[in-house]
Amino acid sequence: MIRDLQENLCLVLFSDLASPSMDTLTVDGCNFLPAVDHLISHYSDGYLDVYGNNGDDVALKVRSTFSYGKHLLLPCITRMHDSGDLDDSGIELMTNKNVSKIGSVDSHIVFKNLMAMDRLFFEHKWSLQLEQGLFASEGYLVDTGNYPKKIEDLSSHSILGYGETFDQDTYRILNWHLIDQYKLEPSMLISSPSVIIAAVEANLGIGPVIYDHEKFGYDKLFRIIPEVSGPPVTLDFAVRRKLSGKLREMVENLEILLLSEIERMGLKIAFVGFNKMAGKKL
Amino acid sequence: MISNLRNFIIFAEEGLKSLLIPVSRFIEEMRDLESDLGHKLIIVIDYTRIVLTPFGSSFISHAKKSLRALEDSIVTSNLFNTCDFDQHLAIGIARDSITTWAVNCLKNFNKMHPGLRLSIIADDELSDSMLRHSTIIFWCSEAGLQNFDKIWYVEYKYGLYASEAYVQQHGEPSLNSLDQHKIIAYSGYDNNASITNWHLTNNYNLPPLRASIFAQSRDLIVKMISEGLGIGSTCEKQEVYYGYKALRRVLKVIEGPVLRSYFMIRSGVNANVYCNVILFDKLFRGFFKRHGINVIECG
Repeated sequence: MIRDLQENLCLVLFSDLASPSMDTLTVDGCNFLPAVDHLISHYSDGYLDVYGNNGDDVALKVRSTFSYGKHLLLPCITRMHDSGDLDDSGIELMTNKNVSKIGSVDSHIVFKNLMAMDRLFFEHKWSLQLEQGLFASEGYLVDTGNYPKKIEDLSSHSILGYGETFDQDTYRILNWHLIDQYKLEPSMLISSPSVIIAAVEANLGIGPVIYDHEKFGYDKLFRIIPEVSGPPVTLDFAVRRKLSGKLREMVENLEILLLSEIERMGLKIAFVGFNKMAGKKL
Repeated sequence: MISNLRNFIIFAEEGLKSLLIPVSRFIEEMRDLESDLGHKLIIVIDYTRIVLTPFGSSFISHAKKSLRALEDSIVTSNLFNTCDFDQHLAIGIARDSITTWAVNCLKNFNKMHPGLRLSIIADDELSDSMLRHSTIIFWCSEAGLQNFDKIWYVEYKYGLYASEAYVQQHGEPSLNSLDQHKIIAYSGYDNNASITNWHLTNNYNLPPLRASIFAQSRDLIVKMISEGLGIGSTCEKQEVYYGYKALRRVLKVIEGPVLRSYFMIRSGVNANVYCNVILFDKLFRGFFKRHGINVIECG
């Protein structure tokens, strides 16, 4: 894609085409970047017109996953609305999991695991990491009458797994219990993380769930074999590098509310450039 | 092979930094691939500078096609067919439905049918994967789906709704005042998006409306309405489908479109699979019956 673009423009945008990034951007690439940003903004704003916006309105577009959009961002959006911050502007909560090849450039804020492409257009400000373990509902444990105590015991249980991705990164984060040292055999495959937790709640089996699920409005679930844990789910908070004054103000308001909501929930964030565990700047 | 192809495509399109494996392993993988192909794909200048050969550049599109074919075969053979086919069932359904009402239909499903392995293919849109792998699809598709037979449907009657608190704060909306309210709309891309946004189409005897709050999920739209963010379009009995407190219908004289969700079965399934399909048919019918929702037979 970049090679074609360079040929069309007769410009060398990256010094190393094998590793296109901000670090390998040439002077011509730097000069071209604002134009790309403008083109993408213009393109992505188009669909709002389809739904009735006249193009003069300001609409903040926030991309997240369905679960965290619903349980973390929506309360903050409601507070923005209640305080009048949305009186003369709009907002869109983008939770569709099918993101285009050009990443999240159709949004102003990203609150999810950043794609490599996103790093070109977004400033990564901080991250929230949520630890994962295996969980089951009380109903499931009562029904089966068999509380697993060690990994071998899980062979007689219904194990839930993520069933539709060939993105290595996503697969390893969500199906950590099916690979490497655990290698559990799934009896139910589900193609959406938000459905996995709903299925665990509905007594359908044991599945990978974040420790802090109750803080996100889910039922109390029971941790199975506490020494079994998976990689953390990472939610990166990132902001489009170039925003108009009004959008910048809305972004800042939403970020303050989100940080406050995260603090209220007792979750810890890691700022970019800071050591999360030590709380010191690296 | 899959890993080699996948990493080749990642490298070719996004560069070394996007690889999730060490460069040394990537080079080894490429050497394996080159050995299979009989052509050089990459030239290693050093561990930070690796470039594609002309053959490598021309191989990208072939690599993508090959990867897709391999992945498809794995989905079919490993994920979905590790047990006897009649002991497996894949259901395709909207994510908004399965995270809300449909998952409750499945409560205790494993207890009742411990030998049946289930795959839930949930998406915001009717995906290729859903069409390829599902035995049952529950979806709003008036035109029907190729290779699927419509068995029955339920209707969603759309109207305009607000929360009680919203109406108390802003007053009962009228046709004349409607354009002064915050309007919530759907911004997903599925085949029913325009129907869900019927209130923005200047039809249905409504004045021209402009939305300012958008969500890509019908569940989130109902949640936004219930949180008092504005007036939006949803269906009757939304409290049954989404599990929130019942919303207040506003402008009752305005009747929106009626959407139908069809229970569809893959054409020509064998008798064993059909037995499993019937389990779901009963579960879903039972749910709708309990909540006073009519199930209408097709044909």
